[in-house]
Amino acid sequence: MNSFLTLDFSALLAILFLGMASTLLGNFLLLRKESLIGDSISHSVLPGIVLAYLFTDSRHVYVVFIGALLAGLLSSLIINWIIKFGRVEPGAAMGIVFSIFFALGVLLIEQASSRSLDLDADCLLYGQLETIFWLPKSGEEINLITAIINLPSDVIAAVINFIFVASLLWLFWKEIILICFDPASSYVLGLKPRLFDMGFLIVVTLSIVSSFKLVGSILVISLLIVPAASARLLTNRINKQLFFSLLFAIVGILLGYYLAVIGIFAPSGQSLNAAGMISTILGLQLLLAIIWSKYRNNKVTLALN
Amino acid sequence: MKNILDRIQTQISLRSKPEHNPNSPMSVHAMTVAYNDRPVLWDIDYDAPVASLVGVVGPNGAGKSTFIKACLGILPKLSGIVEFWGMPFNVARSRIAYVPQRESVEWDFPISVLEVVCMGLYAEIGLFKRVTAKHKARARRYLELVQMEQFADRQISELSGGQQQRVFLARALVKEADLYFMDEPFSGVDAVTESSIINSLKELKQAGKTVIVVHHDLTTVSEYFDSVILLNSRIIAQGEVSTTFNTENLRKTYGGKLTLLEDISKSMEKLSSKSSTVKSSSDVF
Repeated sequence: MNSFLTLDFSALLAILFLGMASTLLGNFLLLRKESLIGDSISHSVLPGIVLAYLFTDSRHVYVVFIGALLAGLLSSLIINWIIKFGRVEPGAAMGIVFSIFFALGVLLIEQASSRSLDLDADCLLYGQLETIFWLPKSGEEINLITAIINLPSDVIAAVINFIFVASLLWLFWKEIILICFDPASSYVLGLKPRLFDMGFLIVVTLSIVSSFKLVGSILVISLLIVPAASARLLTNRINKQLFFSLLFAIVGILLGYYLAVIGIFAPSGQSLNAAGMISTILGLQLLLAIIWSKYRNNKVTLALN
Repeated sequence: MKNILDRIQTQISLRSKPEHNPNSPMSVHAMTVAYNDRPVLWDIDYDAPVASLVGVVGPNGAGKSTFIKACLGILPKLSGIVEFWGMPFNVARSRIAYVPQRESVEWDFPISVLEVVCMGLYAEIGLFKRVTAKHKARARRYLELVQMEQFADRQISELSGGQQQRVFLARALVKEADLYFMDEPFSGVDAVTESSIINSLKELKQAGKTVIVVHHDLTTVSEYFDSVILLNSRIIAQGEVSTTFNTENLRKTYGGKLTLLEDISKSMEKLSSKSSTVKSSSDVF
Protein backbone atom coordinates (compact mmCIF):
# COMPACT_ATOMS: atom_id res chain seq x y z
CA MET A 1 0.00 0.00 0.00
CA ASN A 2 2.76 2.40 0.94
CA SER A 3 4.63 1.84 -2.29
CA PHE A 4 1.37 2.41 -4.19
CA LEU A 5 0.82 5.77 -2.47
CA THR A 6 4.38 6.97 -2.98
CA LEU A 7 5.16 5.56 -6.42
CA ASP A 8 1.97 4.87 -8.35
CA PHE A 9 -0.75 7.07 -6.85
CA SER A 10 0.38 10.38 -8.32
CA ALA A 11 1.34 8.88 -11.69
CA LEU A 12 -2.01 7.13 -11.97
CA LEU A 13 -3.94 10.28 -11.04
CA ALA A 14 -1.99 12.28 -13.63
CA ILE A 15 -2.80 9.80 -16.41
CA LEU A 16 -6.44 9.58 -15.34
CA PHE A 17 -7.06 13.32 -15.46
CA LEU A 18 -4.98 13.93 -18.58
CA GLY A 19 -6.72 10.96 -20.17
CA MET A 20 -10.21 12.16 -19.33
CA ALA A 21 -9.50 15.65 -20.69
CA SER A 22 -8.06 14.23 -23.92
CA THR A 23 -10.97 11.81 -24.27
CA LEU A 24 -13.57 14.58 -23.90
CA LEU A 25 -11.86 16.70 -26.56
CA GLY A 26 -11.25 13.63 -28.72
CA ASN A 27 -15.01 13.08 -29.07
CA PHE A 28 -15.32 16.41 -30.83
CA LEU A 29 -12.20 15.87 -32.93
CA LEU A 30 -13.73 12.59 -34.08
CA LEU A 31 -17.13 14.10 -34.90
CA ARG A 32 -15.49 16.97 -36.78
CA LYS A 33 -13.33 14.45 -38.67
CA GLU A 34 -10.22 16.16 -37.31
CA SER A 35 -8.76 13.28 -35.33
CA LEU A 36 -5.40 13.60 -37.07
CA ILE A 37 -4.94 17.02 -35.48
CA GLY A 38 -3.95 15.33 -32.24
CA ASP A 39 -1.32 13.33 -34.05
CA SER A 40 -0.11 16.41 -35.81
CA ILE A 41 0.15 18.70 -32.79
CA SER A 42 1.78 16.13 -30.53
CA HIS A 43 4.60 15.58 -33.02
CA SER A 44 4.95 19.20 -34.02
CA VAL A 45 5.78 20.35 -30.50
CA LEU A 46 9.28 18.81 -30.58
CA PRO A 47 11.16 21.66 -32.32
CA GLY A 48 9.39 24.14 -30.02
CA ILE A 49 10.65 22.33 -26.94
CA VAL A 50 14.22 22.08 -28.22
CA LEU A 51 14.30 25.73 -29.28
CA ALA A 52 12.92 26.74 -25.89
CA TYR A 53 15.80 24.82 -24.25
CA LEU A 54 18.35 26.33 -26.59
CA PHE A 55 17.22 29.92 -26.22
CA THR A 56 16.72 29.97 -22.48
CA ASP A 57 19.10 27.24 -21.27
CA SER A 58 16.31 26.35 -18.90
CA ARG A 59 14.47 23.10 -18.29
CA HIS A 60 11.79 24.89 -16.34
CA VAL A 61 8.35 23.44 -16.94
CA TYR A 62 6.84 26.74 -18.13
CA VAL A 63 9.59 27.31 -20.68
CA VAL A 64 8.97 23.86 -22.15
CA PHE A 65 5.24 24.46 -22.05
CA ILE A 66 5.37 27.77 -23.91
CA GLY A 67 7.82 26.46 -26.51
CA ALA A 68 5.63 23.45 -27.18
CA LEU A 69 2.44 25.52 -27.28
CA LEU A 70 3.90 27.97 -29.81
CA ALA A 71 5.18 25.16 -32.04
CA GLY A 72 1.82 23.35 -31.86
CA LEU A 73 -0.13 26.47 -32.81
CA LEU A 74 2.35 27.41 -35.53
CA SER A 75 2.00 23.95 -37.07
CA SER A 76 -1.81 24.34 -37.12
CA LEU A 77 -1.48 27.69 -38.86
CA ILE A 78 0.86 26.20 -41.46
CA ILE A 79 -1.52 23.26 -41.97
CA ASN A 80 -4.40 25.64 -42.73
CA TRP A 81 -2.14 27.64 -45.00
CA ILE A 82 -1.10 24.53 -46.95
CA ILE A 83 -4.72 23.37 -47.27
CA LYS A 84 -5.67 26.77 -48.67
CA PHE A 85 -2.77 27.42 -51.01
CA GLY A 86 -1.17 24.01 -51.58
CA ARG A 87 -4.36 22.39 -52.86
CA VAL A 88 -3.92 19.24 -50.78
CA GLU A 89 -6.52 17.54 -48.64
CA PRO A 90 -6.42 18.25 -44.89
CA GLY A 91 -5.05 14.79 -43.98
CA ALA A 92 -2.12 15.17 -46.36
CA ALA A 93 -1.40 18.70 -45.13
CA MET A 94 -1.26 17.46 -41.53
CA GLY A 95 0.99 14.57 -42.53
CA ILE A 96 3.36 16.94 -44.31
CA VAL A 97 3.59 19.41 -41.48
CA PHE A 98 3.96 17.11 -38.49
CA SER A 99 6.57 14.88 -40.11
CA ILE A 100 8.63 17.90 -41.14
CA PHE A 101 8.27 19.54 -37.73
CA PHE A 102 9.28 16.31 -36.00
CA ALA A 103 12.25 15.90 -38.34
CA LEU A 104 13.29 19.46 -37.63
CA GLY A 105 13.08 18.67 -33.93
CA VAL A 106 15.35 15.64 -34.32
CA LEU A 107 17.94 17.74 -36.19
CA LEU A 108 17.75 20.45 -33.54
CA ILE A 109 18.34 17.87 -30.81
CA GLU A 110 21.52 16.71 -32.57
CA GLN A 111 22.64 20.32 -32.85
CA ALA A 112 21.92 20.79 -29.18
CA SER A 113 23.72 17.64 -28.10
CA SER A 114 27.02 19.42 -28.74
CA ARG A 115 25.99 21.73 -25.90
CA SER A 116 25.57 18.70 -23.64
CA LEU A 117 21.81 18.89 -23.46
CA ASP A 118 20.26 15.67 -22.25
CA LEU A 119 17.20 15.53 -24.42
CA ASP A 120 16.02 12.90 -26.85
CA ALA A 121 13.02 12.23 -29.04
CA ASP A 122 12.24 9.06 -27.09
CA CYS A 123 10.91 10.90 -24.08
CA LEU A 124 8.49 12.67 -26.39
CA LEU A 125 7.17 9.34 -27.66
CA TYR A 126 6.99 7.43 -24.38
CA GLY A 127 6.78 10.17 -21.79
CA GLN A 128 8.46 10.28 -18.41
CA LEU A 129 5.84 8.92 -16.11
CA GLU A 130 8.51 7.52 -13.80
CA THR A 131 9.58 11.06 -12.95
CA ILE A 132 6.45 11.78 -10.93
CA PHE A 133 6.41 10.20 -7.54
CA TRP A 134 6.20 11.31 -3.94
CA LEU A 135 9.32 11.03 -1.81
CA PRO A 136 8.12 11.22 1.81
CA LYS A 137 10.45 12.82 4.33
CA SER A 138 11.71 10.47 7.00
CA GLY A 139 9.12 9.98 9.70
CA GLU A 140 6.32 11.42 7.56
CA GLU A 141 3.14 9.41 7.80
CA ILE A 142 2.06 7.71 4.58
CA ASN A 143 -1.68 7.61 4.05
CA LEU A 144 -4.18 8.76 1.43
CA ILE A 145 -4.50 12.26 2.87
CA THR A 146 -0.77 12.97 3.07
CA ALA A 147 -0.40 11.49 -0.41
CA ILE A 148 -3.00 13.93 -1.75
CA ILE A 149 -1.42 16.87 0.07
CA ASN A 150 1.96 16.01 -1.40
CA LEU A 151 0.81 15.54 -5.00
CA PRO A 152 3.46 16.78 -7.45
CA SER A 153 2.67 19.97 -9.37
CA ASP A 154 2.37 18.02 -12.63
CA VAL A 155 -0.60 16.16 -11.19
CA ILE A 156 -2.25 19.35 -9.97
CA ALA A 157 -1.78 20.81 -13.46
CA ALA A 158 -3.46 17.73 -14.96
CA VAL A 159 -6.46 18.10 -12.64
CA ILE A 160 -6.77 21.81 -13.42
CA ASN A 161 -6.59 21.08 -17.15
CA PHE A 162 -9.39 18.52 -16.83
CA ILE A 163 -11.61 20.89 -14.85
CA PHE A 164 -10.94 23.60 -17.45
CA VAL A 165 -11.91 21.36 -20.40
CA ALA A 166 -14.95 19.86 -18.65
CA SER A 167 -16.33 23.22 -17.57
CA LEU A 168 -15.90 24.70 -21.05
CA LEU A 169 -17.95 21.80 -22.44
CA TRP A 170 -20.53 22.14 -19.66
CA LEU A 171 -20.95 25.91 -20.14
CA PHE A 172 -21.07 26.01 -23.95
CA TRP A 173 -22.64 22.58 -24.55
CA LYS A 174 -25.57 23.76 -26.72
CA GLU A 175 -23.46 26.15 -28.71
CA ILE A 176 -20.64 23.65 -29.33
CA ILE A 177 -23.13 21.04 -30.55
CA LEU A 178 -24.78 23.53 -32.91
CA ILE A 179 -21.46 24.72 -34.34
CA CYS A 180 -20.30 21.14 -34.97
CA PHE A 181 -23.63 20.02 -36.43
CA ASP A 182 -24.69 23.05 -38.44
CA PRO A 183 -22.09 25.84 -38.53
CA ALA A 184 -24.01 28.01 -41.02
CA SER A 185 -27.05 28.27 -38.73
CA SER A 186 -24.90 29.06 -35.73
CA TYR A 187 -24.07 32.45 -37.33
CA VAL A 188 -27.74 33.39 -37.19
CA LEU A 189 -27.63 32.75 -33.43
CA GLY A 190 -24.74 35.21 -33.22
CA LEU A 191 -22.07 32.56 -32.72
CA LYS A 192 -18.69 32.76 -34.42
CA PRO A 193 -17.74 29.30 -35.77
CA ARG A 194 -14.35 30.48 -36.97
CA LEU A 195 -13.53 31.89 -33.56
CA PHE A 196 -14.68 28.57 -32.09
CA ASP A 197 -12.39 26.62 -34.44
CA MET A 198 -9.46 28.66 -33.23
CA GLY A 199 -10.39 28.42 -29.56
CA PHE A 200 -10.96 24.68 -29.86
CA LEU A 201 -7.55 24.24 -31.48
CA ILE A 202 -5.92 26.20 -28.66
CA VAL A 203 -7.65 24.10 -25.98
CA VAL A 204 -6.64 20.87 -27.75
CA THR A 205 -3.05 22.11 -28.06
CA LEU A 206 -2.99 23.11 -24.37
CA SER A 207 -4.26 19.68 -23.40
CA ILE A 208 -1.75 17.83 -25.57
CA VAL A 209 1.16 19.96 -24.46
CA SER A 210 0.34 19.47 -20.80
CA SER A 211 0.06 15.70 -21.35
CA PHE A 212 2.84 14.49 -23.58
CA LYS A 213 5.71 15.30 -21.21
CA LEU A 214 4.34 12.76 -18.74
CA VAL A 215 2.58 10.13 -20.81
CA GLY A 216 4.23 10.56 -24.20
CA SER A 217 2.74 11.39 -27.55
CA ILE A 218 1.67 7.81 -28.36
CA LEU A 219 -0.64 7.58 -25.38
CA VAL A 220 -1.91 11.15 -25.90
CA ILE A 221 -2.88 10.31 -29.47
CA SER A 222 -4.57 7.05 -28.42
CA LEU A 223 -6.50 8.82 -25.67
CA LEU A 224 -7.62 11.52 -28.09
CA ILE A 225 -8.93 9.08 -30.69
CA VAL A 226 -9.54 5.55 -29.44
CA PRO A 227 -12.03 5.83 -26.53
CA ALA A 228 -14.18 8.24 -28.57
CA ALA A 229 -14.07 5.92 -31.58
CA SER A 230 -15.10 2.94 -29.42
CA ALA A 231 -17.94 4.92 -27.82
CA ARG A 232 -19.17 6.17 -31.20
CA LEU A 233 -19.89 2.54 -32.15
CA LEU A 234 -22.12 1.99 -29.12
CA THR A 235 -24.51 4.93 -29.33
CA ASN A 236 -26.10 7.55 -31.53
CA ARG A 237 -26.35 10.23 -28.85
CA ILE A 238 -23.59 12.70 -28.21
CA ASN A 239 -24.03 12.79 -24.41
CA LYS A 240 -24.00 8.98 -24.14
CA GLN A 241 -20.98 8.89 -26.43
CA LEU A 242 -19.10 11.21 -24.07
CA PHE A 243 -20.09 9.06 -21.09
CA PHE A 244 -19.05 5.78 -22.72
CA SER A 245 -15.77 7.24 -23.95
CA LEU A 246 -14.88 8.39 -20.42
CA LEU A 247 -15.74 4.93 -19.14
CA PHE A 248 -13.51 3.31 -21.76
CA ALA A 249 -10.67 5.70 -20.91
CA ILE A 250 -10.90 5.16 -17.14
CA VAL A 251 -11.15 1.36 -17.39
CA GLY A 252 -8.36 1.26 -19.97
CA ILE A 253 -6.05 3.43 -17.87
CA LEU A 254 -6.64 1.52 -14.60
CA LEU A 255 -6.36 -1.90 -16.22
CA GLY A 256 -3.40 -0.95 -18.42
CA TYR A 257 -1.53 0.62 -15.52
CA TYR A 258 -2.13 -2.40 -13.31
CA LEU A 259 -1.01 -4.86 -15.99
CA ALA A 260 2.11 -2.77 -16.63
CA VAL A 261 3.01 -2.64 -12.95
CA ILE A 262 2.64 -6.38 -12.38
CA GLY A 263 4.58 -6.89 -15.61
CA ILE A 264 2.20 -9.30 -17.26
CA PHE A 265 3.87 -11.44 -19.97
CA ALA A 266 7.22 -9.86 -19.10
CA PRO A 267 9.92 -12.59 -19.08
CA SER A 268 11.33 -11.74 -15.68
CA GLY A 269 8.25 -10.12 -14.24
CA GLN A 270 9.70 -6.58 -14.37
CA SER A 271 7.20 -3.73 -14.78
CA LEU A 272 6.37 -2.65 -18.33
CA ASN A 273 5.85 0.73 -19.98
CA ALA A 274 2.48 1.94 -18.66
CA ALA A 275 1.76 4.24 -21.63
CA GLY A 276 2.31 1.37 -24.05
CA MET A 277 0.15 -1.04 -22.06
CA ILE A 278 -2.72 1.47 -21.71
CA SER A 279 -2.66 2.22 -25.45
CA THR A 280 -2.81 -1.51 -26.18
CA ILE A 281 -5.80 -1.97 -23.84
CA LEU A 282 -7.58 0.96 -25.50
CA GLY A 283 -6.99 -0.74 -28.86
CA LEU A 284 -8.46 -4.00 -27.55
CA GLN A 285 -11.52 -2.10 -26.29
CA LEU A 286 -12.03 -0.70 -29.79
CA LEU A 287 -11.81 -4.23 -31.21
CA LEU A 288 -14.47 -5.41 -28.76
CA ALA A 289 -16.68 -2.41 -29.61
CA ILE A 290 -16.38 -3.21 -33.33
CA ILE A 291 -17.31 -6.85 -32.77
CA TRP A 292 -20.23 -5.85 -30.54
CA SER A 293 -21.60 -3.32 -33.03
CA LYS A 294 -21.31 -5.85 -35.89
CA TYR A 295 -23.17 -8.40 -33.78
CA ARG A 296 -25.89 -5.88 -32.90
CA ASN A 297 -26.28 -4.76 -36.53
CA ASN A 298 -26.63 -8.39 -37.61
CA LYS A 299 -29.32 -8.89 -35.00
CA VAL A 300 -31.17 -5.79 -36.19
CA THR A 301 -31.03 -6.92 -39.83
CA LEU A 302 -32.23 -10.40 -38.85
CA ALA A 303 -35.08 -8.89 -36.84
CA LEU A 304 -36.07 -6.70 -39.79
CA ASN A 305 -36.03 -9.67 -42.16
CA MET B 1 -19.57 54.18 -29.01
CA LYS B 2 -18.57 54.20 -32.65
CA ASN B 3 -20.75 51.15 -33.18
CA ILE B 4 -23.80 52.87 -31.77
CA LEU B 5 -23.18 55.90 -33.93
CA ASP B 6 -22.81 53.67 -36.98
CA ARG B 7 -26.04 51.96 -36.11
CA ILE B 8 -27.98 55.20 -35.77
CA GLN B 9 -26.36 56.46 -38.94
CA THR B 10 -27.46 53.46 -41.00
CA GLN B 11 -30.93 53.50 -39.48
CA ILE B 12 -31.44 57.06 -40.47
CA SER B 13 -29.86 56.61 -43.85
CA LEU B 14 -31.65 53.48 -45.14
CA ARG B 15 -35.11 54.12 -43.76
CA SER B 16 -35.09 57.68 -45.03
CA LYS B 17 -33.71 56.84 -48.43
CA PRO B 18 -36.50 57.37 -50.94
CA GLU B 19 -35.54 54.26 -52.96
CA HIS B 20 -36.09 51.98 -49.97
CA ASN B 21 -39.46 50.90 -48.63
CA PRO B 22 -39.61 51.80 -44.90
CA ASN B 23 -41.99 48.88 -44.14
CA SER B 24 -39.79 46.18 -45.69
CA PRO B 25 -38.65 43.36 -43.39
CA MET B 26 -35.27 43.46 -45.12
CA SER B 27 -33.58 46.23 -47.06
CA VAL B 28 -30.31 45.63 -48.86
CA HIS B 29 -28.35 48.63 -50.02
CA ALA B 30 -25.38 48.62 -52.42
CA MET B 31 -24.17 45.20 -51.28
CA THR B 32 -21.11 43.66 -52.96
CA VAL B 33 -19.73 40.28 -51.93
CA ALA B 34 -16.41 38.68 -52.96
CA TYR B 35 -14.81 35.24 -52.63
CA ASN B 36 -11.01 35.43 -52.50
CA ASP B 37 -11.05 38.94 -54.03
CA ARG B 38 -13.31 37.81 -56.88
CA PRO B 39 -16.67 39.60 -56.65
CA VAL B 40 -19.64 37.20 -56.91
CA LEU B 41 -22.42 39.65 -56.12
CA TRP B 42 -22.37 43.17 -57.45
CA ASP B 43 -24.17 46.21 -56.13
CA ILE B 44 -27.32 44.52 -54.82
CA ASP B 45 -30.24 46.79 -53.93
CA TYR B 46 -33.35 45.09 -52.67
CA ASP B 47 -36.43 45.50 -50.49
CA ALA B 48 -38.18 42.32 -49.40
CA PRO B 49 -41.98 42.64 -49.67
CA VAL B 50 -44.18 42.25 -46.58
CA ALA B 51 -46.11 38.95 -46.23
CA SER B 52 -44.72 37.27 -49.30
CA LEU B 53 -43.05 34.14 -50.62
CA VAL B 54 -39.95 35.25 -52.50
CA GLY B 55 -38.04 32.95 -54.86
CA VAL B 56 -34.36 33.66 -55.51
CA VAL B 57 -33.69 32.26 -58.98
CA GLY B 58 -30.66 32.17 -61.26
CA PRO B 59 -28.15 29.85 -62.93
CA ASN B 60 -25.56 27.82 -60.99
CA GLY B 61 -22.87 30.06 -59.58
CA ALA B 62 -25.06 33.14 -59.89
CA GLY B 63 -24.66 33.85 -56.18
CA LYS B 64 -28.09 32.77 -54.90
CA SER B 65 -26.82 31.17 -51.70
CA THR B 66 -24.22 33.88 -51.37
CA PHE B 67 -27.01 36.47 -51.43
CA ILE B 68 -28.76 34.87 -48.43
CA LYS B 69 -25.54 34.19 -46.55
CA ALA B 70 -24.25 37.72 -46.99
CA CYS B 71 -27.58 39.18 -45.82
CA LEU B 72 -27.36 37.05 -42.66
CA GLY B 73 -23.70 37.84 -42.03
CA ILE B 74 -22.57 34.24 -42.67
CA LEU B 75 -20.34 35.56 -45.45
CA PRO B 76 -18.57 38.90 -45.13
CA LYS B 77 -19.71 41.79 -47.32
CA LEU B 78 -17.19 43.81 -49.27
CA SER B 79 -19.51 46.79 -49.03
CA GLY B 80 -23.13 47.66 -48.50
CA ILE B 81 -25.75 47.75 -45.75
CA VAL B 82 -28.40 45.20 -44.82
CA GLU B 83 -31.19 46.14 -42.43
CA PHE B 84 -34.07 44.16 -40.96
CA TRP B 85 -37.09 46.29 -40.02
CA GLY B 86 -34.68 49.22 -39.99
CA MET B 87 -32.34 47.48 -37.54
CA PRO B 88 -28.96 45.84 -38.01
CA PHE B 89 -28.87 42.05 -38.07
CA ASN B 90 -27.43 41.73 -34.55
CA VAL B 91 -30.49 43.45 -33.09
CA ALA B 92 -33.05 41.70 -35.30
CA ARG B 93 -31.70 38.15 -35.32
CA SER B 94 -34.23 36.70 -32.87
CA ARG B 95 -36.94 37.43 -35.47
CA ILE B 96 -35.08 35.64 -38.27
CA ALA B 97 -35.00 31.88 -38.99
CA TYR B 98 -32.72 30.12 -41.44
CA VAL B 99 -32.72 26.70 -43.12
CA PRO B 100 -29.21 26.13 -44.51
CA GLN B 101 -28.10 24.31 -47.63
CA ARG B 102 -28.11 20.53 -47.11
CA GLU B 103 -24.38 20.24 -47.82
CA SER B 104 -23.35 22.49 -44.94
CA VAL B 105 -24.89 20.18 -42.30
CA GLU B 106 -22.93 17.37 -40.60
CA TRP B 107 -25.73 14.78 -40.91
CA ASP B 108 -23.73 11.98 -39.23
CA PHE B 109 -23.59 13.92 -35.98
CA PRO B 110 -25.00 11.74 -33.14
CA ILE B 111 -28.05 13.83 -32.31
CA SER B 112 -31.79 13.07 -32.20
CA VAL B 113 -34.50 14.65 -34.31
CA LEU B 114 -36.07 16.30 -31.24
CA GLU B 115 -32.71 17.78 -30.20
CA VAL B 116 -32.33 19.27 -33.68
CA VAL B 117 -35.74 20.96 -33.48
CA CYS B 118 -34.86 22.31 -30.02
CA MET B 119 -31.96 24.19 -31.66
CA GLY B 120 -34.58 26.57 -33.04
CA LEU B 121 -35.16 27.66 -29.43
CA TYR B 122 -31.50 28.30 -28.53
CA ALA B 123 -31.81 32.04 -29.11
CA GLU B 124 -34.71 32.15 -26.66
CA ILE B 125 -33.07 29.82 -24.10
CA GLY B 126 -29.88 31.86 -24.06
CA LEU B 127 -26.24 31.17 -23.31
CA PHE B 128 -25.29 28.80 -20.41
CA LYS B 129 -28.89 27.59 -19.93
CA ARG B 130 -30.22 24.11 -20.63
CA VAL B 131 -33.03 22.82 -22.83
CA THR B 132 -35.94 22.00 -20.48
CA ALA B 133 -38.94 19.67 -20.77
CA LYS B 134 -41.08 22.69 -21.65
CA HIS B 135 -38.86 23.49 -24.63
CA LYS B 136 -38.98 19.86 -25.73
CA ALA B 137 -42.78 19.85 -25.55
CA ARG B 138 -42.89 22.89 -27.82
CA ALA B 139 -40.45 21.30 -30.25
CA ARG B 140 -42.64 18.18 -30.30
CA ARG B 141 -45.69 20.25 -31.27
CA TYR B 142 -43.85 21.57 -34.31
CA LEU B 143 -42.69 18.06 -35.20
CA GLU B 144 -46.37 17.09 -35.24
CA LEU B 145 -47.05 20.03 -37.52
CA VAL B 146 -44.65 18.64 -40.13
CA GLN B 147 -45.88 15.08 -39.42
CA MET B 148 -42.57 13.88 -38.05
CA GLU B 149 -43.53 13.28 -34.40
CA GLN B 150 -43.00 9.51 -34.64
CA PHE B 151 -39.33 10.14 -35.54
CA ALA B 152 -38.58 12.39 -32.54
CA ASP B 153 -36.11 9.98 -30.92
CA ARG B 154 -34.38 8.81 -34.09
CA GLN B 155 -30.90 9.93 -35.00
CA ILE B 156 -31.07 12.59 -37.70
CA SER B 157 -28.93 10.52 -40.12
CA GLU B 158 -31.46 7.65 -40.07
CA LEU B 159 -34.00 9.83 -41.91
CA SER B 160 -34.46 10.27 -45.65
CA GLY B 161 -33.56 13.58 -47.30
CA GLY B 162 -37.18 14.69 -47.37
CA GLN B 163 -37.72 13.82 -43.72
CA GLN B 164 -34.55 15.68 -42.72
CA GLN B 165 -35.76 18.73 -44.59
CA ARG B 166 -39.09 18.59 -42.75
CA VAL B 167 -37.24 18.41 -39.43
CA PHE B 168 -35.28 21.51 -40.41
CA LEU B 169 -38.53 23.22 -41.35
CA ALA B 170 -39.87 22.39 -37.87
CA ARG B 171 -36.68 23.84 -36.39
CA ALA B 172 -37.25 27.09 -38.30
CA LEU B 173 -40.96 27.20 -37.39
CA VAL B 174 -40.44 26.63 -33.66
CA LYS B 175 -38.50 29.88 -33.55
CA GLU B 176 -41.74 31.69 -34.47
CA ALA B 177 -39.77 34.23 -36.46
CA ASP B 178 -41.07 36.97 -38.77
CA LEU B 179 -38.62 36.48 -41.62
CA TYR B 180 -37.48 33.09 -42.95
CA PHE B 181 -34.55 32.25 -45.20
CA MET B 182 -34.38 28.85 -46.88
CA ASP B 183 -31.50 27.65 -49.03
CA GLU B 184 -32.78 25.07 -51.55
CA PRO B 185 -35.30 23.46 -49.15
CA PHE B 186 -36.56 21.16 -51.93
CA SER B 187 -33.26 19.57 -52.93
CA GLY B 188 -33.30 15.80 -52.40
CA VAL B 189 -36.96 15.94 -51.40
CA ASP B 190 -39.85 13.74 -52.61
CA ALA B 191 -42.97 15.27 -54.21
CA VAL B 192 -45.17 14.76 -51.15
CA THR B 193 -42.71 16.51 -48.85
CA GLU B 194 -42.23 19.31 -51.36
CA SER B 195 -45.94 20.11 -51.43
CA SER B 196 -46.25 19.82 -47.64
CA ILE B 197 -43.32 22.23 -47.19
CA ILE B 198 -44.76 24.72 -49.63
CA ASN B 199 -48.11 24.55 -47.81
CA SER B 200 -46.38 25.41 -44.53
CA LEU B 201 -44.67 28.34 -46.24
CA LYS B 202 -48.00 29.59 -47.60
CA GLU B 203 -49.44 29.48 -44.09
CA LEU B 204 -46.51 31.60 -42.90
CA LYS B 205 -47.29 34.12 -45.61
CA GLN B 206 -50.93 34.24 -44.55
CA ALA B 207 -49.72 34.98 -41.02
CA GLY B 208 -47.97 38.05 -42.44
CA LYS B 209 -44.43 36.66 -42.58
CA THR B 210 -41.96 36.86 -45.43
CA VAL B 211 -40.10 33.78 -46.67
CA ILE B 212 -37.08 34.10 -48.96
CA VAL B 213 -36.27 30.82 -50.74
CA VAL B 214 -33.30 29.93 -52.94
CA HIS B 215 -34.90 27.86 -55.67
CA HIS B 216 -33.58 26.20 -58.81
CA ASP B 217 -36.62 24.56 -60.40
CA LEU B 218 -37.93 27.22 -62.79
CA THR B 219 -41.05 25.21 -63.65
CA THR B 220 -42.50 25.62 -60.16
CA VAL B 221 -41.68 29.29 -59.60
CA SER B 222 -45.05 30.64 -60.75
CA GLU B 223 -46.87 28.06 -58.68
CA TYR B 224 -44.94 28.58 -55.44
CA PHE B 225 -43.93 32.22 -55.21
CA ASP B 226 -45.52 35.66 -55.15
CA SER B 227 -42.36 37.54 -55.83
CA VAL B 228 -39.07 36.69 -57.47
CA ILE B 229 -35.46 37.86 -57.60
CA LEU B 230 -33.69 36.93 -60.85
CA LEU B 231 -30.03 36.85 -59.96
CA ASN B 232 -26.86 36.49 -61.95
CA SER B 233 -24.07 38.30 -60.08
CA ARG B 234 -26.37 41.31 -60.23
CA ILE B 235 -30.10 41.53 -59.73
CA ILE B 236 -31.35 41.17 -63.31
CA ALA B 237 -34.98 41.71 -62.38
CA GLN B 238 -37.12 41.69 -59.25
CA GLY B 239 -40.79 42.03 -58.42
CA GLU B 240 -44.12 40.22 -58.65
CA VAL B 241 -43.90 36.84 -60.36
CA SER B 242 -46.74 37.79 -62.71
CA THR B 243 -44.90 40.80 -64.10
CA THR B 244 -41.23 39.87 -63.61
CA PHE B 245 -40.98 36.16 -64.34
CA ASN B 246 -41.10 36.30 -68.13
CA THR B 247 -39.07 34.90 -71.00
CA GLU B 248 -37.20 38.11 -71.65
CA ASN B 249 -35.97 38.46 -68.07
CA LEU B 250 -35.11 34.75 -67.91
CA ARG B 251 -33.10 35.08 -71.12
CA LYS B 252 -31.17 37.96 -69.58
CA THR B 253 -30.54 35.93 -66.43
CA TYR B 254 -29.63 32.60 -67.95
CA GLY B 255 -27.80 33.91 -71.01
CA GLY B 256 -26.76 31.24 -73.49
CA LYS B 257 -28.62 28.24 -72.12
CA LEU B 258 -31.24 28.47 -74.85
CA THR B 259 -32.54 24.92 -74.93
CA LEU B 260 -33.37 25.21 -71.28
CA LEU B 261 -35.07 28.50 -71.95
CA GLU B 262 -37.21 27.07 -74.71
CA ASP B 263 -38.40 24.38 -72.35
CA ILE B 264 -39.25 26.98 -69.78
CA SER B 265 -41.07 29.25 -72.18
CA LYS B 266 -43.09 26.27 -73.37
CA SER B 267 -43.93 25.37 -69.81
CA MET B 268 -44.89 28.95 -69.14
CA GLU B 269 -47.17 29.06 -72.15
CA LYS B 270 -48.79 25.94 -70.78
CA LEU B 271 -49.07 27.63 -67.44
CA SER B 272 -50.73 30.77 -68.73
CA SER B 273 -53.11 28.80 -70.93
CA LYS B 274 -54.37 26.65 -68.09
CA SER B 275 -53.46 28.51 -64.96
CA SER B 276 -55.93 26.50 -62.90
CA THR B 277 -54.12 23.17 -63.37
CA VAL B 278 -50.65 24.45 -62.65
CA LYS B 279 -49.31 21.18 -61.31
CA SER B 280 -48.94 19.56 -64.74
CA SER B 281 -46.06 21.90 -65.54
CA SER B 282 -43.74 20.05 -63.19
CA ASP B 283 -43.30 17.18 -65.64
CA VAL B 284 -41.69 19.37 -68.29
CA PHE B 285 -38.15 18.36 -67.32
